[in-house]
Amino acid sequence: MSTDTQTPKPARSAPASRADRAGRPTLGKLWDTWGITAILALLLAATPLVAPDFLEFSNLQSVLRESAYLGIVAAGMTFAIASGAFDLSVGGQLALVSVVTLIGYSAGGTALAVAAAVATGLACGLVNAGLITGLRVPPFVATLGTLFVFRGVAYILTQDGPKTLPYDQIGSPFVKIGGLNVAGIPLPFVIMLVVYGAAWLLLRRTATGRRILSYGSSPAAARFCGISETRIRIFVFALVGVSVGIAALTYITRVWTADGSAQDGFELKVIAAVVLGGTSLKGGKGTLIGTFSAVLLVSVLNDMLVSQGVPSAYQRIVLGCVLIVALTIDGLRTRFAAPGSFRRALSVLVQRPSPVDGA
Amino acid sequence: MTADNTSPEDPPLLHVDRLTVEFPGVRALDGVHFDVRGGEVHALVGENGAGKSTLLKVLGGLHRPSAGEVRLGGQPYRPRRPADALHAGIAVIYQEFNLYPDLTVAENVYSGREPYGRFSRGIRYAEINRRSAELFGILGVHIDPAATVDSLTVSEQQLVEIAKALSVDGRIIVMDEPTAALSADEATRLLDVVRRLRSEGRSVVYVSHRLDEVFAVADRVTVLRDGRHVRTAALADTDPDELVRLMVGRDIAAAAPRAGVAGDEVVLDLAGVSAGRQLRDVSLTVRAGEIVGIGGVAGAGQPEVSQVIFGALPITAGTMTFDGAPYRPGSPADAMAAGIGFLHEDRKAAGLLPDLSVRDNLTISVLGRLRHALTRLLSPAAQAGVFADYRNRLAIRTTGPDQLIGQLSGGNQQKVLLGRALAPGGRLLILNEPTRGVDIGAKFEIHQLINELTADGAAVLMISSDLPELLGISDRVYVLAGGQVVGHLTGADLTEENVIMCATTERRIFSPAGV
Amino acid sequence: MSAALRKAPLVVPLLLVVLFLALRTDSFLSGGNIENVLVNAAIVAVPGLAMTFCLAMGEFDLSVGSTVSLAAVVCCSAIIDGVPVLLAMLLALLAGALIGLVNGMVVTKLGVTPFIATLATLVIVRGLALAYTDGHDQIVSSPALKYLVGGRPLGVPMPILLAVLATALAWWSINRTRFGRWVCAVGSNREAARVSGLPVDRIRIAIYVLVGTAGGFWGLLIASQLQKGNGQLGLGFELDAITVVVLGGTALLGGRASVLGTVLAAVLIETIRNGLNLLNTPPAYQRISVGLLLIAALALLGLRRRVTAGPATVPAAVKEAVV
Repeated sequence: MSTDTQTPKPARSAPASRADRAGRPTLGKLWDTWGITAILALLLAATPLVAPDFLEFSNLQSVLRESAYLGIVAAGMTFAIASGAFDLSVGGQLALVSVVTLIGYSAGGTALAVAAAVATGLACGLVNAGLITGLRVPPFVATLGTLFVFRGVAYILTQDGPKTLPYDQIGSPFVKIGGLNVAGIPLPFVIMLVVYGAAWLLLRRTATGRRILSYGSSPAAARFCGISETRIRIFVFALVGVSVGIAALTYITRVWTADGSAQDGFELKVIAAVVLGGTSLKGGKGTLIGTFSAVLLVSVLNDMLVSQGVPSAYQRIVLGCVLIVALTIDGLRTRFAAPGSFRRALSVLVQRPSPVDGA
Repeated sequence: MTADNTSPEDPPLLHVDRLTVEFPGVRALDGVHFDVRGGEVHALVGENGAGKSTLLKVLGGLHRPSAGEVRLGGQPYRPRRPADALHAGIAVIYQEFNLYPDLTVAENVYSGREPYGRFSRGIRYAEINRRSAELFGILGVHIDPAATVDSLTVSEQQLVEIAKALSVDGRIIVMDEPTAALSADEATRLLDVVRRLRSEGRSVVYVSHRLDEVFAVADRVTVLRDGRHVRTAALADTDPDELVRLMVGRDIAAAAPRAGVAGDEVVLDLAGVSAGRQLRDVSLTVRAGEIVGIGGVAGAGQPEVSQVIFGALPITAGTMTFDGAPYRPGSPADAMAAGIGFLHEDRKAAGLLPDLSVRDNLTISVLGRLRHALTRLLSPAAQAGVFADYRNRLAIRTTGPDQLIGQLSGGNQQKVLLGRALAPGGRLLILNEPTRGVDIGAKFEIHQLINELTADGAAVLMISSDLPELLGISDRVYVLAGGQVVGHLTGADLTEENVIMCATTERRIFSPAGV
Repeated sequence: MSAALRKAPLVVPLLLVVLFLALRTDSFLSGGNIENVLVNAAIVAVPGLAMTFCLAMGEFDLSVGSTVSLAAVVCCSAIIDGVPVLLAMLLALLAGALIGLVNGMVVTKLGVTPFIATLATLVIVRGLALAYTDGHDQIVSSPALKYLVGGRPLGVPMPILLAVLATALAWWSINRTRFGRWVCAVGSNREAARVSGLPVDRIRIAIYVLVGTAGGFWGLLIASQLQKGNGQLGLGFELDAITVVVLGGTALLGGRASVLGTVLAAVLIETIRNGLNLLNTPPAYQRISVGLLLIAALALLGLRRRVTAGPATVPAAVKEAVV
């Protein structure tokens, strides 16, 4: 325990757990932003030992390609969670958007398919926003309900069987969205990079981003700062919808087929990635760098397990455990330790959890 | 000399010896001595951050000391959890309410100690309802024990907290700012209850910012400053001036002198404004350069008046005029656009953005004009500029613009929020309880700042439950009761007696300068 | 009358649906069909009641669906391995309780948010069930296991009997006993519960164990119905359980519970499902109807809150809904 009493004490009356000297980048602060990235780097550094095949170029390409749709939706979801809500309907949205996109493609080619994807995603987001702001249904329930509804509509649209891309379309520009490489980098991953760049600017460098974080941090205080709850909600859920629209384009051009059951449980995967990245479920904090790294971490881990021949059942177990371990570190930190003191977090692991140890 | 039942040579009931409490990077208590005798009221005073709350939390079993010892009745007292403290007969009423809004009053009072049937395992509701009603009888209020707590007013909730502590039947009852949310009348009754507890031989540790209460009820007083013990004295041996000096560590004037000059130009005018059942037929004016106060007992409609003006509460009748034009805001955003700055009375619940930096907290109301003209992106430099401006002007003590606001002391948090209200540069400032929970030094600075603002021509509407503050810096005061204006005091009429008279009796006083 | 309606607002839509189905179909009112509906409702209601405690405490358990699968797998493979049926059922319940215990420990001792902790166990436990069965069905033929769903002691189908018992117990427990009030107290204000000296962590762990055990029981019922267990059972059941609780009117943020609401919601949902079947509606519409029902119920709640302005001290979030 620190006996360093000469330091200035600006925060005597503040809650004990917040009593660090901020301003300087401390280990804890760095961990907040870069912790998951560091774990990802460690994992990658270990790959030559564990899975030498992993580093093969074609394998790397496929990992990045597969991670794109999860990553793009996770970017949108980061905003929702930062605003203190989450969208449980993204799985239903992805299924519905994929089905509509395929219908659009068979009716009017690439242009119509792209337009249909984004428009359907946006429409789904606006439906959620309408329920939440107009009818005042809590976001959790509203999106739980629309999860059923969107999936149901997708089922109805595919009653005659799943929609698929015909094989003879392999040369069309639409299918190339999923297959093309730009300078060796898969196009879906390029799209994901662009999405994250834009999202980062939106969250960190615009008034809207500040307002979303403010609303997530304290809805009541935000209201008295002149921030409109309705606008925040509409913006955030529309954003999630659009992100699903973009993601569906990279998804459907990889798997070629969709029906109502596509990507069952997707919503939980997305939320897990965002939280793993370090965005707090309580709202008010959001880190896109963290989300990005978490998405890659999950994808890389998945790929390694597959390449090692681990049965898919065990892959689930490993991924679940990773989630718990990561969140445990985070939970211990926020509960017992000052944000500035990572050492303290480790000390809690070996000592009885208490604000201050007995004399 | 004092009213204790034991002679000073007897070992005290509670003895705190060289108590030190450390948090990472901060020593909240540093070798503090403190003792409580049987049957005495011992006041604990000090500025915010002096360590009072930490000491209480050690007694209540919420914090554990890093060094030092606490003895209770001669035995070592080391509570590991709140239940241990209750068991030992120490009941603590913390400053933050610790109530369950969804449960009934009686369930709250007897939480964790509910009597229950042996076979049915059912709680004996008849018994806890009756016993709760008896406790409220002692406190002189009528609160339905079967009502849910979320249906109570703030002062009723405070009384439930007090009843909870009384129900423990403890040897030592610790009260942290128990009158903060109470009306003058309720506060008086609470002080009677404290005296009654003493006469029953129980001890009370009484923490308060209000020195008049301390002198009215306590036998001894201990002053803490910066986590250290400064002095313990019998009340008879000291006076308020000395206590203030010991708390602050320097001499300080009681209230800042008025600097602003009231102009003639009417900035805000309310005519017959009503809002549902909460406000009825409220008329008032605020002129440029003027500080207008609003007073009254808790729950008389003061925050509602401010929220109507700020567009946070819809108006159901009457008209408002702002800057000479009809004014009807639909939301706080409208009010801000019109040029009104607002400070909420509840800093924690509706003021702070706890996850954001002090810079973001301060500039959130003016982000629109901190954008790059072409890209529409926020300019970090412009944000930093605005922040540096107010940091200097308000003397905000912070380690830097990126510090989280939760890490500042109450007074500095309040200054940041004042900066937020000022930043848009509006003509009218609505300040709800501008110095609530703020230590004396910061209070003085805030008063000075409000003065300077009016000297620059701003109009200030200040709502305060702190009577000396209300009377000390306001040019005029409106008194509210039951959502109506029941008094308008200026000049020589501006006295504590008149405010209390209007607020609590049928008498109406309208000074000649008139509404 | 109106007070009773306010306590159980689902009675009205339930009566309307029953009336509609009675008029539009020939078979709805037949004794066998009604019993069928009630049995299905009972099967959801029992875990729903446990989940009611969990939501009243202000927390979620998302791992229930996987627990169903694992419990069914444990029970069936034990029977296949020659374990006596009763013992096999007990093992399945134990497995559920153990998952609950793990959830509770992770949430309380490691400080992981319940949503995420149980999301992780959802993934892990399904992985365990899949790994254990290697993806194959564990098929049994056990009359004793069958009795759990098909038995009729006193002429009443077993699940209905169990559900009635569980409902009475849950109602008494949550409204009248210390434990139940403590659960609501934790849901209402956890910090206050800690300061009041309530054993908050033990209460939370107990609830997770309760939900886990109920999930295990759910798995037994499913295994009894299907006479098999596999890693795919119970997909999405966690949302079903939460849906009946929320639809029943238990506050999402904790502090209040509606036991009767949960049971009514289970009956309502199963009635609608049954009706859609009788009307030959494709299964896709069933999903939509459940979703719409959930939204409608909460929307009505939101609208009602908007009309009746609360007292001056309602929390800011609620106040916003009023304004």
